[in-house]
Amino acid sequence: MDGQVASDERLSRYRERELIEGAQRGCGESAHRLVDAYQHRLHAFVWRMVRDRHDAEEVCQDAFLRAFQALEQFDFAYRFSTWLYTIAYRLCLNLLRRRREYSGDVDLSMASSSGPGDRESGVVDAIADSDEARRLKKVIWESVDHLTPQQRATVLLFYREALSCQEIGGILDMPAATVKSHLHRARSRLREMLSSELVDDWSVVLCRQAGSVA
Amino acid sequence: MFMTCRHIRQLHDAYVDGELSGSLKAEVHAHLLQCPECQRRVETIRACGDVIAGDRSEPVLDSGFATRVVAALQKVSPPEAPTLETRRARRRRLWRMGLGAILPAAAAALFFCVLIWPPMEQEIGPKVVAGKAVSGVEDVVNPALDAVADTREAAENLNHLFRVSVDQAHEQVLRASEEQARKLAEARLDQGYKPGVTVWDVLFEPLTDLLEPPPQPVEDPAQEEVVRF
Repeated sequence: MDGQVASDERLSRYRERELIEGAQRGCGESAHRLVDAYQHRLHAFVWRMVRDRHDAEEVCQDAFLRAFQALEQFDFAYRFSTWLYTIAYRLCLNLLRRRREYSGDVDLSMASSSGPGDRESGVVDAIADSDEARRLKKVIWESVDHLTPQQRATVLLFYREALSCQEIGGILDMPAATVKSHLHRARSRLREMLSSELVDDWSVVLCRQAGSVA
Repeated sequence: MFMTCRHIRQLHDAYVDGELSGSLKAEVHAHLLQCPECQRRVETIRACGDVIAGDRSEPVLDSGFATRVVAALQKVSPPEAPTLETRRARRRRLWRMGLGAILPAAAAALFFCVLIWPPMEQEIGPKVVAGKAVSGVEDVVNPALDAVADTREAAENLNHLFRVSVDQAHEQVLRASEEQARKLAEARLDQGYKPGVTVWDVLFEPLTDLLEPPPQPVEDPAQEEVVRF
């Protein structure tokens, strides 16, 4: 399944509520639908956080189980995804903390060497499928790996999930102003880490993409 | 207003996020057109955002994941509650625990203070709360003042009786303690104790005898008269 692009079905608020109420009554089919709807988005987030496939799957399963077990306490004012991401984020932090205790410091850039960036096939380029694009994406993801867990989670939720700082603050258990600060620092660090050639190369990629579309 | 690169760079994030107002956005845009360095910085962040948002190169879960989760959910006993606790919740819990420890400690400290603190002398008699009667209301106030005065007199009498009885009790206690002390001293004398002799006197008695000068012979009073001037 490596390299397969999986996209989750986006549920409407009404449908989501129906499924949650079904899962609260113990309906396995509703729980199955909810897992189907969020598993790939959640897994992508968790994998970016922990950078290990086995750990990511374990965290995802644990997050779903905990979410379903505590479903009676679920507040319908929030989205199920927020509830799920909150649990998964705490589990990721616990995992990273345990890793740090065992190995001193966490270097996710080492983990990325066995990640999908090095796979010969299966890299789906959203912007352009070329050597330059692949290289630049690899450089960018490696820079993201060097961010702190809070900064990384903020960047992922902001760009990937398109959540507001307020919503991210709800997940990371911090005020929206702190989220904004994490986002600003993450961008500054990314700017520092990425070489100046990046923009030139990126311009080339965009130009080629524009040419291929035309 | 002319804005330098330093000013513009503070607005880069807001510009990229589309949070700037029309005029400010136009000003930053105009600056970017003529400043390659600022343009480079903005494009770097845009490139990062594009890749993070659009790249789907993560490994995906296999198709049996949802089935495994549901199967595991049915195995897990329902009463098991999640143990996830946010930092805020933990802070609140610790604060409650702290209060739970501090409040009984404070109550205990207050209790001991009340026990140890010397009792303050309090005036038992009631206080007169009314002053001189105002003209026109004497008929109402005077009986009330009389009643207060009567009450005060009664309280003073009670207070006096109480003090007398306390003094008598105190004297009896003193007499009893003196009597007991006297009996104890007699008992000690009967057992061979010498009054005014301490333990040190008994221990150092042989040494004291050695150091004591020998008794002088009694001189003849006649000779004494001779020697005397």
